[in-house]
Amino acid sequence: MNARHRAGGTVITANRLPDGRVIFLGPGGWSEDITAATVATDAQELRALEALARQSVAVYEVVDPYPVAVEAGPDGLLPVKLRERRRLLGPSPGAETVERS
Amino acid sequence: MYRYDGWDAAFVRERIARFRDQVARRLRGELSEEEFRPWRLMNGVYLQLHAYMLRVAIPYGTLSAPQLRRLADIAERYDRGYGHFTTRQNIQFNWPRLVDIPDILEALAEVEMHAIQTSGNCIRNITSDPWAGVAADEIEDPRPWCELLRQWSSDHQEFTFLPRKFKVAVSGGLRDRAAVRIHDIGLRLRRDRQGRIGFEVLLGGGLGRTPLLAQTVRDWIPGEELLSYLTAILRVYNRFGRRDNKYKARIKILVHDLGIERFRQLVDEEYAVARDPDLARFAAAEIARIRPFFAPPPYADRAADAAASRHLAAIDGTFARWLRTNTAPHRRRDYAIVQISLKPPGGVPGNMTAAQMRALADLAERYSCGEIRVTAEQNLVLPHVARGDLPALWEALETGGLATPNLGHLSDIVACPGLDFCALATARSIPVAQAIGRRFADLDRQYEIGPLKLKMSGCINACGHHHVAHIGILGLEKRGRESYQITLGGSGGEEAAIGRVLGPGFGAEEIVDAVERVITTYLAGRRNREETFLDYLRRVGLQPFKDALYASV
Amino acid sequence: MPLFKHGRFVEDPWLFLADGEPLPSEGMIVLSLARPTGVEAPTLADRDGWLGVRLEPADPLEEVVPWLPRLALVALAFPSFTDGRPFSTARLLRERHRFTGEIRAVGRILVDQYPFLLRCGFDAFTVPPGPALRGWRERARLGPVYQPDSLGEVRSIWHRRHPELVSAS
Ligand code: SF4
Repeated sequence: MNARHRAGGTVITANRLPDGRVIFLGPGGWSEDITAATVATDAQELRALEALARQSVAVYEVVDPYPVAVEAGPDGLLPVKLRERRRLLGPSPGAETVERS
Repeated sequence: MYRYDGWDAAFVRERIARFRDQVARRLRGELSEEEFRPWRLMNGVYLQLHAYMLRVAIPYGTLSAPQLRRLADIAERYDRGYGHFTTRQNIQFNWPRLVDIPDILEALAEVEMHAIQTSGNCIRNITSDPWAGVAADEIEDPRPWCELLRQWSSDHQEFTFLPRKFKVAVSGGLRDRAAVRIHDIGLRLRRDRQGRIGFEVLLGGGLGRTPLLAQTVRDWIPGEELLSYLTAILRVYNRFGRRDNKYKARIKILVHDLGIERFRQLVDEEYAVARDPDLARFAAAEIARIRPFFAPPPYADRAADAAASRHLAAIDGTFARWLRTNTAPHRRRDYAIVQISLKPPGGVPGNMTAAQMRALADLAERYSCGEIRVTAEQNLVLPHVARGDLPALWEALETGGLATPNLGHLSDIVACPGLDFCALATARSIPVAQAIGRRFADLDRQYEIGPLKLKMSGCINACGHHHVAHIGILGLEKRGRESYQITLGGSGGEEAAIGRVLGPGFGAEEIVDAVERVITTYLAGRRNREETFLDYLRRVGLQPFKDALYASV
Repeated sequence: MPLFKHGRFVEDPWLFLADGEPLPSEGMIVLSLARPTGVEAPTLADRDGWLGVRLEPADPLEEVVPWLPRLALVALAFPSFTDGRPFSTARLLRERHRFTGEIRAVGRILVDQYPFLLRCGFDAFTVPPGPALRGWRERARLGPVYQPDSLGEVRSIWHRRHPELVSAS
């Protein structure tokens, strides 16, 4: 975890258009791995990220990108809000009849 | 069961071709998400918390063995090996990829299934009594009427862009088993003195943030006039329902704002001119065509061995309790309705693995004329089981983990997917349901408690029907944490009632104890075992429960 | 705005006037409902040339009904393609008021809505210029439908299953 990740801030998330999976915007493009995400720490950085995300919408890569506040968790970045945490972590253990592969 | 003719098949094929084209245009960027959304929803596709979700219709809750097997195939091929039965006679798959969905729809069409209008602001999948055709108190099988409505509402030219979703339920029994009072329109089948079939029409029910029970808008509409009358209701709604605020857009709000009298007057005026003799003739002709599909199966006379189950029950207590809780009287004395609980202790309410689906499909073919039903309480039904076959069936169900004898008891919990899957959720419901199921796993204790309906929803939208549960739990978010609010005294079906909120919510780690205290309060206060939870609550009100849950703090 | 009619794009002979614009002495004009029902009513009643009215979804239909015999076009506005009110309005115009002139969909509509619009009585569609035009040429078609429609133009599935009922209607 780099210093930026430790400080927390805002990342951009979306769903990938063809399969709907949760992704985060980073310097290398979109990734399912939040640790690869770019963390914006001020309004200007966030605007730049949002502009990039809009481009991805325009080329039909992603659906409905939006900003999510994150903080440093024990194992890396963790969204602040309950809903976004669940979205990152997936269903609770045992909430699917069949174990996740 | 209804079988498609060439036209039904052609209709579904055309719908899939159109959706395949829409998906392709979406992926090429020719449709924006906004432009794509209505078509995606009207084909049952949501974008949920982690992935797309596909909701497949089980029209009026009737399913054949090959159809259930096909659902198993889809679960394995495109999902994670299971499906989730909902409270509206649908099944949901949580992990399909958008690009695969047209193929999934083709696979469904091969067994005469679809996902048409399982979402969107249109007339949704028509629901009905899971005991249709076999219940002892039935006036007439409601399913031909449901099928008529399914066809009439599919791609309806006028009512596909309504202010909000529109749910219709049809009940054919003397007792309501289709929860007609919590639907936008509830239809209760009636027969007049001349023996003609018609309907009582109830209007404006629904749960969500403004829970309201439907009121009777018309005591009697002759069957063949039904479509014209519904056209009148929907036209009034389509023209005058609110479109500025999606929380006030359901028909119940319009009925509530105008008052039922004024609404009835508007509908009657519209009906007087909208009455369409052609539509009545087509409806009558279609009903006559459809009815034979729902003729009773060729039952073998099984009176000779009907006593077998009684004999086994006399010597085997485990079988006896299953017989008591999970079977119901069939209209034939030598047959029974068998209910399959999808609520094993610690399980996910309504979930079924592909292996279980296949096993149950086999059992349905062997013991239930190939038929399965889906209930609004997230359970399944084998509707035509000879009493003589009950011991063998029970043994097979036990092996498959499908014989949990808890129907209508505390651990037969209804729960929506909640924050584990749903994009709108404010709290999880599945882990809480699992924890309650485990806490009360002891069957003898559940039987001691008696009939009890516990239902929970992961947000105010109330898909888990918590408002009409004896004990309802609503998951909310309070200051970044999950908080669970208890409502007591709701009831679905015949004596429908909306539950009342007990007080402030409980944290995730407190809610199971809170439910336990509700139960112990009841057990300590009831007059005797005959006084059910609901009877007791209606006698004493909320106060003893408030005292038990909040007085100490 | 390109106009789609009878399966192809055609010239639009109509002039849509904004509320402040003066009335031309002749020509085919379309006005908002406020004008024929307002102070200009006498002028319009005497005017030569074809008249059309544009209705917003919330406009009261009763007000336009007396004018229908004088109208050759009713344009129904879609502020958004999810606003389904004009579907009902079109059916009422056709089926109840027996309006036989053009019913035109203007505003935001999608080609995917074409089968629904057509069966409610719309017979002309304005389409934004650009890529949507190709979509309309390729996709504006009708598949199998269940509901008989009182215009009698579409053979519904129910018609085909029960041909004996067709002559009766
Ligand atoms: S009640 Fe809320 S959380 Fe549960 S399924 Fe419905 S919308 Fe989702």
